[in-house]
Amino acid sequence: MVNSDLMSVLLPLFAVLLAAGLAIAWVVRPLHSAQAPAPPPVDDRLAALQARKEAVLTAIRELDFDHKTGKLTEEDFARHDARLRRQAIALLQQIEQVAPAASMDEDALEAEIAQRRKQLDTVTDDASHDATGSNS
Amino acid sequence: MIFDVGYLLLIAALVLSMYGVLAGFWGGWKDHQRLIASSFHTVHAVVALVTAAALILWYALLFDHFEVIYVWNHSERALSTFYKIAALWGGQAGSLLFWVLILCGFSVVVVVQNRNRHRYIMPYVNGVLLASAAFFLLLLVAAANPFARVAFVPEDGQGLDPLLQNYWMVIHPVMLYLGYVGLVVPFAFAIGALMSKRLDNSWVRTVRRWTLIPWMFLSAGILMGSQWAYMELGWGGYWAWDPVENASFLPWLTATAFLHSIIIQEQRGILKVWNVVLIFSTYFLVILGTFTTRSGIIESVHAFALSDVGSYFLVFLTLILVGFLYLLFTRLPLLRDEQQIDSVRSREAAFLANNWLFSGIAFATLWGTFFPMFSELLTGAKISVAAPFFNAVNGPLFLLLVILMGVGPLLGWRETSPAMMRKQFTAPLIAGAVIGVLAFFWGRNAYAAAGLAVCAFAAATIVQEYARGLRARRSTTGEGYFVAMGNLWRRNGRRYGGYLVHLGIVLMGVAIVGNEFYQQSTHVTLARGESTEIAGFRVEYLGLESMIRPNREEISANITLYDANSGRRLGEVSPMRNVYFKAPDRPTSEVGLRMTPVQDVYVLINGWEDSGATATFTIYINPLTMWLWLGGVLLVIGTVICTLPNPTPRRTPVYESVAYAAGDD
Repeated sequence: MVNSDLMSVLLPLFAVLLAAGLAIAWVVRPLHSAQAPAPPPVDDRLAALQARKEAVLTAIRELDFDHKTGKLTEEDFARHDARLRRQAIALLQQIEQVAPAASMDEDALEAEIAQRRKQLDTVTDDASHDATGSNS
Repeated sequence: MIFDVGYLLLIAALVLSMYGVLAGFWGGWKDHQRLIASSFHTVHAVVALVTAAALILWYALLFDHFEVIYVWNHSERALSTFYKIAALWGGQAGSLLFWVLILCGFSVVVVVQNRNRHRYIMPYVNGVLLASAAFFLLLLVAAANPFARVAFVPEDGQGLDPLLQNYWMVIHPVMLYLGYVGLVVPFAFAIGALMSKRLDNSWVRTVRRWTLIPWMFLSAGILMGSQWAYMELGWGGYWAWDPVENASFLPWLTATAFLHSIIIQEQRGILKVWNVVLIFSTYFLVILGTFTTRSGIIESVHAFALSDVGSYFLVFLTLILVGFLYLLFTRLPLLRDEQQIDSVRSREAAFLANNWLFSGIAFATLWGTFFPMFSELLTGAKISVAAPFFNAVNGPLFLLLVILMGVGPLLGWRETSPAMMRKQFTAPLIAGAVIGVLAFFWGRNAYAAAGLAVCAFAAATIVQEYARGLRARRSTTGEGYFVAMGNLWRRNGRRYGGYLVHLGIVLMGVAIVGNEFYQQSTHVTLARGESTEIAGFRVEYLGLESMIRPNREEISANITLYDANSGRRLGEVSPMRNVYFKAPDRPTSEVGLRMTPVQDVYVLINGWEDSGATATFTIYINPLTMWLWLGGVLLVIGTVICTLPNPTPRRTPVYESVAYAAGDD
């Protein structure tokens, strides 16, 4: 009877100690590893520039879509599109300064714009050719 | 005993999560890689410990361990396995444990998905997620121990609350909790961005999807709760502006506003302060909502769990409010808008107006919900504001919202010329006007006609957008209609999924107009074989039937419905009363329902005499209610489409790694 009572106390205690011990061992493992964990390879400024570039590309895509579905006049579209493209090119130049290997040249940017437009749906290839012409 | 193990596991999880908060915040602040890695590991460890504790409570419920007070209070031997599993969230302590369990599930997905992304933000994200877990673990350990036991082993439990023994009440809290708890994630990212001062667009992209998914669950949860109220509470409606309904609705409103305004930030780099305020408000309202439900501070049909957790919530709410305000004011210089809104005739202006309306509705709802508490504090008398207040204030605001829902998609970003506006708006306006006029001549109710006109206008804009998108796609690619439609969803799911969500909301609006303005009801006592007529239906009472189930007696009335004009038999309905053996003084109602797209015939049995020789019924004719549920289904489908990842162009490895680091998902 005494043994049974003792076991009913010891077993849960053992189970908890085991679970908590394993959990703590896992938590403190990085603190005691021989080599400090390497941080993710991220250039902070570059990441911010890339994010802004992505936003501008999305904006170009949305603008184009609005144009195709009749929400913008030709003049408004041309004006906003040119402005966004200038922003994209400026961002690209900044990216090139920060990390030349990570940047793409203007042609590549235009190709990406064209590809995104194409992927979106309604877009023809004309836009990218026109744009390449206007920016080069 | 194994239940001591459960409790000790919760204590271990609490201690570790508190450590993880420090490791995350300190590691992030000092860029201490070992501590940061340890904070990631802490999330895994806490998840394992909490899951083990939850499994132990499930074990207690499934194997009838009534010595555990929670099991004793919320289960019984005769309860079906289905409800025994659901009993985990049927009472206070269990539902708090369930809250932490879901938070752990979300947390582990977040840390696995973002282990190598958002380098400077993630340590703080870990810290915030673990701080939220620590708070709920503290409640479980200090104020609501789900493993507390009695000194003896009761023969049987007291049973699950009869009102909760309903299919919808099983799934509804799960959905609601998935929504509630999931909204902790965007808050964690927002705090991470503020603390790390990395407030560029990268966190915005990640957080948008992490808001959409919980928002979908929250929407589904609210609708399932409405379905439960409709079928179970037996008052003929589905939304009563009950405090607990409002508690789930409030974060939905702010999260919906956030989902719109975050697009403006992403596109135009504006509304940055507003967005962090919105996501904080959403988190605050989630905690406040849980507090409302759990503390019983406001009387409600739902507040079945009263206890002393209220003071803990108040302290936590104060802490997060003060902490957020400090962070916000110290980071204000970093939250300057990059641009401004160019024109009122732009989509961003429509989105901004939409945000004002959502905020207005949220404020009115918050005020109405907590007014009884304030009135009691200030005057000593509890003064409640009921549904008419909410309908009067929020009704017109919702109408304006639906108008904006139609207007927004028709406007382009930045500016839309008057000529283009005429081109865009002509067909939808005509559709709205035609439906409005027809509705007025049919129903002779100007408000209802206005409501239906607005719904028709919004629906027409969506149809027009789809038609133009399909036409453009087909003209470019030559695809068939179905393929083109599929590609619209796949390649621009955000826009076209969003339109489906809008259409779902429009359908709900149609149902609400139908119910608010055209509902009919009657209260009758019928002898066996006798019938009554309402709204073109003849309702004939045939008698009562009784059936014994394991834990209850079901008493149902047999009723046949006929077309009153032609005499054609339309079908049968069986309103029911359930008398639970463990709670005979709290019988529940199950309505008899015949649902069609035009109207619901909704029959409720109020009572009977002489073993059913006569019975009293309340009969409602609820027009267009089916569209509420169909709208909900459409909303969920649309949200799923919104969250689908876009097929991305092939990228160079370097580009990919940088975009990856920038959070381009």
